[in-house]
Amino acid sequence: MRFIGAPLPETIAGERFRDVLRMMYASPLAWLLLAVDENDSGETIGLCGVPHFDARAPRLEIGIVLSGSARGKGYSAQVLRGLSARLFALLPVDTLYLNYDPRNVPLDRAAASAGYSKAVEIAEARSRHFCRTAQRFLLSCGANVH
Amino acid sequence: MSTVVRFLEKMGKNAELRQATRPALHSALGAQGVEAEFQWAILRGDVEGLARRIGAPTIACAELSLAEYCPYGVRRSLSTAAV
Repeated sequence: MRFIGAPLPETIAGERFRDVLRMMYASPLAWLLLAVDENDSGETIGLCGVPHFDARAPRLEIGIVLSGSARGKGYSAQVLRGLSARLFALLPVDTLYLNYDPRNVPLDRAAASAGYSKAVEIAEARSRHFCRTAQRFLLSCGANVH
Repeated sequence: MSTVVRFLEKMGKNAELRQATRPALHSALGAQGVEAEFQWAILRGDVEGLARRIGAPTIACAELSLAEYCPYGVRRSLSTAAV
């Protein structure tokens, strides 16, 4: 698991996994998770989707994870193109975005190949992405602390 | 570390706690066993300081807008969507 970070503590990982499962089966759908299959072999080589899915949102985050053996073959760009095309075709979304470790050069190239461009400065991205729930919480805190 | 991460996640899901007064927040932080240095950063709303202490990674963000994807303003149908 390169570029993602250190393993989460087991209890937190378990809680997050259960949260994702719950959102995947929620109605309306709250987490879109799709398998990525290799055309030739039919083998499942990864996952892609939309965390915190909202069918009415004008802006959606997308994500992709490929198995180690599937990397370096240009699949990421194909997946990003295919997923983006379908989301733009099916939903009223205006902007798709992808957050990633800037050291992940292959994904950086794949995103560019799929038409994505760097949208924000690193510092801004950091504050936007960092523990999104924490960010909302802290901003709210700053605005409401008495 | 895991305590503060868990606390922030809990706060993110709980609007009531997000709107809490400083004393109530302080009390909640203490009740959850959040370490003092993280409590201080949270109470000050110091996002950068908290990120630094937690060791949150730097993140890049790339975007694709509909206007860039489909410059003529017409959403592609599934039958013509590139794969």
